[in-house]
Amino acid sequence: MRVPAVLGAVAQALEASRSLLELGSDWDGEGAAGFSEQTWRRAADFVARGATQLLKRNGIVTDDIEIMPATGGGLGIDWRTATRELLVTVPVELTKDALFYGDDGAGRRKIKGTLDTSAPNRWLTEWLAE
Amino acid sequence: MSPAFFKNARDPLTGRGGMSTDWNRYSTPEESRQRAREPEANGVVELAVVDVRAIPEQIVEHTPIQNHPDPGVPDNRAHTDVCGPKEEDPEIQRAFSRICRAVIPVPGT
Repeated sequence: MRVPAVLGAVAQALEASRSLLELGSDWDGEGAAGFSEQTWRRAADFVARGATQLLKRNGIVTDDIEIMPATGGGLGIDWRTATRELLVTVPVELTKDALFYGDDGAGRRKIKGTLDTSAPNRWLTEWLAE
Repeated sequence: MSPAFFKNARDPLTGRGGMSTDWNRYSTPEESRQRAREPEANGVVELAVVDVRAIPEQIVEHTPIQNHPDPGVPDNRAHTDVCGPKEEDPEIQRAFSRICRAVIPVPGT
């Protein structure tokens, strides 16, 4: 997983999130599923592609992003820019789209729906750059 | 606070679903933390009921635990369920993350 050198925070977030793969099932003591390499790679590819696109097309350096546990072995992506906050939930099932919700941090300028994590999703990075 | 933290669980024995919380009328933050399987690895956040009820479809219900079918589950007068969609709607998870306040931080964070 490679990103431009200026995206050090993204590289760090990707690296840190690898530790989720070491958690087995029931990692939360409430029966939670563990995380698979396949799900992590899907989330990481989406983040790396999007952050690189945001940099190259809009000159914006992503410095606030986190990949975190979601339900059922899925992974959440919490991505913040100066003017936008985006939450994406990547499911375990490869055939299922990811869920997303975004706003300006105060509940305005909302977007919500599903997306194909393997698509370029340029509209999404344009929205993050607004 | 990670939005993904806010999720429902289903009690396998009673079939009840919801996000388990404690009502601070009957429990201190430290008492709640001690109910975790690994207290030393957990923190506690606080949510105002009025703010929770402002999130779409969320219902707050005081559900004290007494004589649970699983003998490993102790009585808990403070137990309160927050029912309604969470993990299937990232907008709701984000809303929860914005109204919570850490009262006992997770160690090491």
